[in-house]
Amino acid sequence: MADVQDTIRERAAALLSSGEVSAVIGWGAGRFDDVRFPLVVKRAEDAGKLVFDASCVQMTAKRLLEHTGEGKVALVARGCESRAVNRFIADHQLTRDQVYVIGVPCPGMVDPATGETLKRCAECQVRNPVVHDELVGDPVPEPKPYRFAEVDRVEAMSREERRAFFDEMYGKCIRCYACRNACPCCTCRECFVEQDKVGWQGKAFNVNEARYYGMIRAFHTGDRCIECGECERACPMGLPLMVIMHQQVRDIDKLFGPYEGGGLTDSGPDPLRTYKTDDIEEFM
Amino acid sequence: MSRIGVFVCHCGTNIAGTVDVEAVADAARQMPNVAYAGTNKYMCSAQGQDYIVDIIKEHNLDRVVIASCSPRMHERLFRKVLAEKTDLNPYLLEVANIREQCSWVHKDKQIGTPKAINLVAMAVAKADCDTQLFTHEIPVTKRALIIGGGIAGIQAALDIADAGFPVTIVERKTTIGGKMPMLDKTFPTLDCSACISTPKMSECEAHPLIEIKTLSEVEKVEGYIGNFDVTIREKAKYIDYDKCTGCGMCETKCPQKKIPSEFNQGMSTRTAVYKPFPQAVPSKPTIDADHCRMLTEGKCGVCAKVCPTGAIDYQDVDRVTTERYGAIVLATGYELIDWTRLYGEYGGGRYADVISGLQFERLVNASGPTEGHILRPSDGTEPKTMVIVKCVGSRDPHKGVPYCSRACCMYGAKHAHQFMDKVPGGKCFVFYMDVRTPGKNYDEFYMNTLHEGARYIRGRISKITRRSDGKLVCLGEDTLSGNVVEVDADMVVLETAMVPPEGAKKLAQTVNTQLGPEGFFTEAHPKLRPVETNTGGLYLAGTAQGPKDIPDTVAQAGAAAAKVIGLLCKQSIESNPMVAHVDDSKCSGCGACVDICPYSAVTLVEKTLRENSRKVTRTVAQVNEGLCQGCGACTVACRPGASDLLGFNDEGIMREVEAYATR
Amino acid sequence: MRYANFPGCSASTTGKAYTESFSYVARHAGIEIDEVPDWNCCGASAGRLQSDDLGDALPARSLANAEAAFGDEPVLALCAGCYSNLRRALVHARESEDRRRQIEALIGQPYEAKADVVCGIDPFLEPEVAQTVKARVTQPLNGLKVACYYGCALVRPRALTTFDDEEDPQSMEAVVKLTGAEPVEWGSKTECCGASHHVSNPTAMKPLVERILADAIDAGAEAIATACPLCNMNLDMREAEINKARAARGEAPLDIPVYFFAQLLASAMGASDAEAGITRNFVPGSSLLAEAKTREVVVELTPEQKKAARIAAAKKQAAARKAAQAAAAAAPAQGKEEAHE
Repeated sequence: MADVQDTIRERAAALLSSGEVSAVIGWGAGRFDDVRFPLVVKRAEDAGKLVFDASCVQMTAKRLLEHTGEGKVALVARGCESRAVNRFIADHQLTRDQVYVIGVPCPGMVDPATGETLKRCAECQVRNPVVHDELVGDPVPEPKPYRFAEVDRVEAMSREERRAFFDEMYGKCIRCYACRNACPCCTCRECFVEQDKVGWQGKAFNVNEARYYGMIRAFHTGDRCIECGECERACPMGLPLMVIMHQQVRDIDKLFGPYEGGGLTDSGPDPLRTYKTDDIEEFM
Repeated sequence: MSRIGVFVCHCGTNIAGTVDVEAVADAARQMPNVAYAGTNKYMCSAQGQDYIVDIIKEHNLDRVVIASCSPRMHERLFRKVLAEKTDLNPYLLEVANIREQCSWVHKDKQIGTPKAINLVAMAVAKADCDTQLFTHEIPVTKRALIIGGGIAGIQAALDIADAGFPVTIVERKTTIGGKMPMLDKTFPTLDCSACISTPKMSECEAHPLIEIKTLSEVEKVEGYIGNFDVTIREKAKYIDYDKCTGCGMCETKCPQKKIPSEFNQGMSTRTAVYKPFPQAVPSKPTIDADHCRMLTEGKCGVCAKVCPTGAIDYQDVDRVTTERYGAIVLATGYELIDWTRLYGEYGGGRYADVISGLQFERLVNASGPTEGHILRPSDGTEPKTMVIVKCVGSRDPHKGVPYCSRACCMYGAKHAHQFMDKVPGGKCFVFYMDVRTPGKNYDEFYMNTLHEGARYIRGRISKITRRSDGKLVCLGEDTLSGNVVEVDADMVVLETAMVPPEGAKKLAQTVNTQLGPEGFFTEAHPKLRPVETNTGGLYLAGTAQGPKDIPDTVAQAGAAAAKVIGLLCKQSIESNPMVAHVDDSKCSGCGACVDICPYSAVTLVEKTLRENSRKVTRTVAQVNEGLCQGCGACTVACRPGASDLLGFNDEGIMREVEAYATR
Repeated sequence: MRYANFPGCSASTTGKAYTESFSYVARHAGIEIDEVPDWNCCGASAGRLQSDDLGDALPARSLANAEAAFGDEPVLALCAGCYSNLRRALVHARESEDRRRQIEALIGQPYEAKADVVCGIDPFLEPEVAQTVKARVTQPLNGLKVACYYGCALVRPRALTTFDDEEDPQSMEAVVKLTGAEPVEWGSKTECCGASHHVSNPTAMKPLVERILADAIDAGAEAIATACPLCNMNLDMREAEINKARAARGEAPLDIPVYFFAQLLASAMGASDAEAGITRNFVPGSSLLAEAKTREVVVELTPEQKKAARIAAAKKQAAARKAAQAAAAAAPAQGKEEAHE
């Protein structure tokens, strides 16, 4: 990975000094050996600050949206970031010519807390970038691990057990909205949860309100989710949020498939926001 | 605080019979913001309207809830009352449907009354959220497009053109005329079908305001009432109509002579360069690209050699044009059900002498393949015993279609009459389920056929087999006597069901309108708006809307024409203000609404907006108010709720639900 | 292909010849057969008349046994009555989850309705099986005209069965063609044979059978093929009786052997008459098949071959015409010359 890091630094310096891009988004070193932070490099001489190793756990793509309008921006993109780029393009938040994608095939990251493979990497379906302007390093094999084990477990529960599972899950939620802020699908200017709807949604700190928030957010992102797992990683309370997202991916595949998750191409429409005159209208 | 007036209608006993209307008014008085509640026997009557107007003035009301029939019925009328006789904006009105959705579906006042109160409470809650809405003017393009050139399309075209508006007829086949010129005689008067339809065809051709595009199909329709941009593909005819004189030399010399004639229902042949029948309009031939040897194999070229004016052009290509029309009439007609695929018991098409009613029309027609002599297709002999089977496909939900095709009883009787007229001593058996003759002089015609000796047997044929001597053994039951009937027939005529033409579904998508479950176009209201569709500016004529006979088709075409003329007469029309509206400040331009809109009414545009006292240019969604039909799909798809439907805003609907849920 | 066989009551009685011939063909065509363990009566016509529940439960129990033993292996029912009843239970269970649960409660064992139910013809519609059978036909029944008779229970009602067309099915024809025989088109292939009146009211039944036999002969058939023990018995057993009555009326006899389609397959694949169960037939069927096997083979040309032959003929004709024209042109010229001289 050290070679890859060197190449990223070289390429970032070259792109910045040639003026082709105004910024490069990647990772930088943190205060501890195993902590990395998203880093936006704007000067060629700072390119040496870019880091790429097994501790780059964050999904950086959403930083792109903070720098639109500043000319072309380069993004060091693994499979997950590249799908996010497609997601932004399909959601009209970005055009392809606004971003320069430095693709990096990703071997999977390590969870600093446990020393094991990060959960979102262990479930990853797309390790190689699906879109890139250049590729740094050789493509890695795609093991496509089974990602519905948790879904299977919840599905097998009885109604009561399932209720208890979700109650416990949302009982822990502190409504910090880290999941939303991390999500590349959440690009609304004003989230529904910030809106005033007296009697319908509140900001109270209880399981019902949290569940309402969680479920509505899940539906809002359901057909577009790129399965990066960043919501779950970002959650400070460790909620198993991906179980809902994976369930939706599987249901959409069953009902409207074949469907393998969002962000694999940069074109819409997504399964749940299509109008087809030959759609089955069972209720009519 | 709004001041809402609630007006509860008795509708005679329609509502008052199952709903205690006084109790509803009493309950309404207790509802928030209600300043007045009262009842009237007929709210829609002149006296009822005056009552509403007087109370609005007297009590200084600023919102109105009328609890009556479906808003589909009288909402427009009540809006008009508000607009013309009061100072209230007509969109500050809610209709609570306590008739169709309440009194008509319940029998018991104990159930009907509380439900009506709930419905009124919901309407009151929503009325409080209503805002003033304003219409604007949409210009009207004074041209009409007719899709389909059968008798319905022809009649509508002539009527509209005679009123002084230019008309384009788009016809998929090589000639206009549709099925009518194929028929021999028309019931009940027995006048010659071609003699009354072909003059209308040539009238169309000669009319200065009518343009005919044959071999053409509508590919795309954009725009809205008054302003449809229609893309039409006119397929290559391989003949330059400016040069062609219609002399027919090419037809005589074409070596490809064995192509089954569509006009004669496969009972004679035609050439590859052909005119389907002598009176075809345009009266010029077309080259059938699927059968022409020059176009399929690259060799032959006989027609080009013999053409005296050099009109043959093998290099001809499709022409695609886009033009603007104010109104569109769908007159796409019908097809006959493919009985061979469905009815194995009738031989599935393997017996040459089991023919369809339309084939019989050609057999009995003087210009048909047998010059009007009824002869069996198998051996050319005259059938002495003929069996007519009605309702083949019709009224047969298991194999065919569930509906009645309406014309078959009459043309079945006509076929029986014609057979007995042309074959002296011939025996005709008609197997029927019912005999339906509701038309002027129809039953008299049927009775006459009976008196001539046609044997009507109530029951269906269960099986037709062919014996080695060529007789068709028809097995059936006479359900009146309960006996099994067996007829050795020489020929069998199946009166087959009318079904929607191939491509109706695709056309419905193209023009953005609905089909019913049978596949015919749906009218806006079966009784009150029978020739309109739910899409403004789109009208229906003839069998495109459902099976009917020629008199009804022509009458409906005239009605559609009257609607079109009414529209085209206007300089401009009022827009519907109940359309989607996008709140730019909330819109992130994700385009979900663009993808989901069935009417292509939403587009993404770059807008310069003021945000936080800064000018920013962003992409946001914009609704074309002419195209928007107010369906609300975008408001549901919009996650932050930037898209809202005027007159049905999210707030109002939530308040309605609350009003119901908290009662 | 493996099938779970549901023998039913006729397999070793009236339909013994069917069982024998089908087993012979299956053995040679790579069709493997397991017997459904502990099977019971399919309910025939009596079960369903008693109650709808009994009508579904009786066949469902056997199907559940098959499912427990062989999973989703299709259940083969050679008898058309068994086929119809087993399919009814299957379709009902598949139609509604509620009904499936009710059936499970009735039979007291799990039944998931996974396995399909097929009739005797179905295995041969599988392309590989058809291919094998075709390859194994060593004694083809060259051009034997066969009327395929389906009767009622195989094809009707449509909601239960899986045939191409309940009024004009073609599947048995496709299978019979494998033997080199030629199926005829005829109109009575799904007519009632009067089976239900077989015992109770033979006078009502006889005209029905007579009509089927007469129709087959009228359509040019030399033999009738069936796929149901009951149909076969009705047609085969009553033929002599009917002919006796016809003779009394002074009418010509209806002389036509009735085979199970599997008998035709077996015989063409080299089975002896005993192996194919043909010796059990009432109307003697040995000599017709033996005679058919000696017939000259008429080779059916493919459309391409036909076209090539047509072109060759046309070329030959054109050449002949040219030669004739040349000769004609030469002849008058000669004549003129002669005249000049």
